[in-house]
Amino acid sequence: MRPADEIEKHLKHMSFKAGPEMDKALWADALKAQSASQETGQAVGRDLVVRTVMSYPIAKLAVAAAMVCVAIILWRTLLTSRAYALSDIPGLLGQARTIHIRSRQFIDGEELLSEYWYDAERGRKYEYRESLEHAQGPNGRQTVTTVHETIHDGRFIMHADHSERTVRFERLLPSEQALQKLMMGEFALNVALRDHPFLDRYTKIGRDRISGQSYDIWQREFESADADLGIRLEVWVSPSTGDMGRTRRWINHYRFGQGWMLASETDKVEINVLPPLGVFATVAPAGYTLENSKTTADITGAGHMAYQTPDGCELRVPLSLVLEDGSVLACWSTTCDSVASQAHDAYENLTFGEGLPQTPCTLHGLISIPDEKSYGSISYRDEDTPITIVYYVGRHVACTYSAGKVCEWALYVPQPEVPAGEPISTTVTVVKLHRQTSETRLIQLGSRLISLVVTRARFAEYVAGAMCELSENAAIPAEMIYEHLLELAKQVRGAPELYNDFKDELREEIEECIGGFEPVEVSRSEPGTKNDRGRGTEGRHVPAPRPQRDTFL
Amino acid sequence: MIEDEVLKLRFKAGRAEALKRIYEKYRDSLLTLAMALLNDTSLAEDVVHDVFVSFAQSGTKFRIRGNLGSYLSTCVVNRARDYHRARKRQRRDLHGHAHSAGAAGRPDQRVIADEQSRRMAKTLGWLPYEQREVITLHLNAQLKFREIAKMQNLPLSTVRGRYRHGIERLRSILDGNL
Repeated sequence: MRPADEIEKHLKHMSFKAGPEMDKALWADALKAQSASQETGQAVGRDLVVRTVMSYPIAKLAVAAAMVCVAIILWRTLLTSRAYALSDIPGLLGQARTIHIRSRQFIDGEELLSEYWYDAERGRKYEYRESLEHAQGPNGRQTVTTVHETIHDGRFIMHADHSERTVRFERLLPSEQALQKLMMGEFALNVALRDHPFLDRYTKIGRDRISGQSYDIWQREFESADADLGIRLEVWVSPSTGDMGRTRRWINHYRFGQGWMLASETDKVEINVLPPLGVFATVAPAGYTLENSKTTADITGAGHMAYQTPDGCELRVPLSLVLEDGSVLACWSTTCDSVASQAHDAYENLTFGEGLPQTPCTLHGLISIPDEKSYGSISYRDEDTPITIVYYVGRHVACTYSAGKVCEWALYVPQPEVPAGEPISTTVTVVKLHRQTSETRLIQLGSRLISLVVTRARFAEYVAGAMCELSENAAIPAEMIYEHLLELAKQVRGAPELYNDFKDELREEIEECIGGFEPVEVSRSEPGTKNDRGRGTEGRHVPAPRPQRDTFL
Repeated sequence: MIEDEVLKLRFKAGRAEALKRIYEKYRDSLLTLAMALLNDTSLAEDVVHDVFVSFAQSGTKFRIRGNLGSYLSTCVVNRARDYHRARKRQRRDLHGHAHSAGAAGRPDQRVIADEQSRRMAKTLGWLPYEQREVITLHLNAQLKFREIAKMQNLPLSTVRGRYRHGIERLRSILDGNL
């Protein structure tokens, strides 16, 4: 090895080690220095971290990207966690499993209680209503308070009149049971917030506290068309939970000069609370007179009462199903003078796809107005939007006989097709009278018909279920095949003369009820008053739909 | 290397055990470097002391992107240079008689080294400081000539020349005595 290499080797291996004393002193001072720097340098350190990080170009980019992400997250968080507004209420009620509503009306110095329970999961409903009725007593005309309960248990409906101590039952077909379940949210909405089609016309006027919880107060005020009546509606909505704390309805009869008077108040709208045990039980109270039994109960359903004439003629539609092309298969029957249609001969010789039977009262066709927003009996549309009406022409499919009644099964075909997007379809019935009555028009618009949109599998299931009730031997007519009905619909749509005839027949009624209508607001009685007993929206004859700008029927 | 990166992060976070590990890992090599540069136990101890205390004080402000060992070695070299200049001004004896007045205990008890190492450190002391620094940084701190040139802001050829001349001079001093 060269001397130079030898020297380098010795220098490389030169080694000095700290002795214990030096080591101890050195380490102690170093540790002390570190502790001191932490105490004094924390604040500075934070700044330095930022400066240090930001000194790297890539760090600057990363920080900028992070800030953008944070901004987006904050924006979205603020957006999604925004305070609940009045417009959120329909959605919240629509998603609820159970809904409890309690309200009071103040009429003629009387306080009338109403209470409702809705079980959307099982399609059950409980309604308790107190109302005032005027009756002729020994001392002349007098006002009495009546109490009614209507209970749906999913299969049966029990109407109890606690004033008369009577009970009456109705039955629901399987398809109507499914339909009722779907409609529970809407039923509740119509009770809790009847004015819901006009929520965009409310303004927030202040805040209030109820039982320690903070609520926004939303208000809307308007007048009737003749400016005789002022109506003020107030809704308390919790911005944090979306709870409805209270609703109030005030009225002002200007001509009486009494100022604003509280007409009704809802003090409880509870969502997803456990209903009281047995509240949905359809058991007649002891000592009550039974007008019928569950086995002899009428078959009913949403929109089943299509038409009633003053002279006792009724058209009932206990079932209606919507096919995939929008065609509606409806089952209807006519009862005149409390006797089932005697005109059995009207059904004789009818074949599949022909015109409808000439019964005294016929479900002649259907119409729908897609632009119209309708909720129960309240309807409106934008008056600037041209009216578009879809016409449904009816054709005979089959008829079934049960307990002396004839049920007509007819297919109502829209032109053009109306592919179903919602589980429920709403149309308006067109009724044709085949016997002359006083001054009524022979073709009239009847009540709304709420129908269940079904798949092919469900169609077969529901038709079979209905036949058990509506056909004496529960046999399904051979014509009642889904594909046959679609084929019939196709043929009907290919015959424009059928639609032209239908439009011509209906023109006068349409022009009077829809075309030339001026938007007005008129008041109507609260649910549960003498004008609104028994069946609620789905079972009442509603005058022809009047798509108004701001209808308050 | 990875361990050093972890130690740097932990040290910046104020972890005492990180400082302890750094101290234990580099204490003796830094002391050797200081001894090679100064050949004075007390001064070498002071240099290492100053470097570690300053390093510990830097705490969260501490920031280096390179090698931790190179960083500490550079600190020792810089501090030793300062001591060397100060010592020159004070005309102190470079032959091992002086030691820091404040240092407790005998120097040979505070710094442990074999005879060969002490002899080599003493011999290095005969070299001009610039040559000594280059030789020490290259052989003891294991820095490349390029790194030393960058550190001392000198041309690479100057650094190589100082190293070569220093080694030749050591050879002539130690000729036949190794």
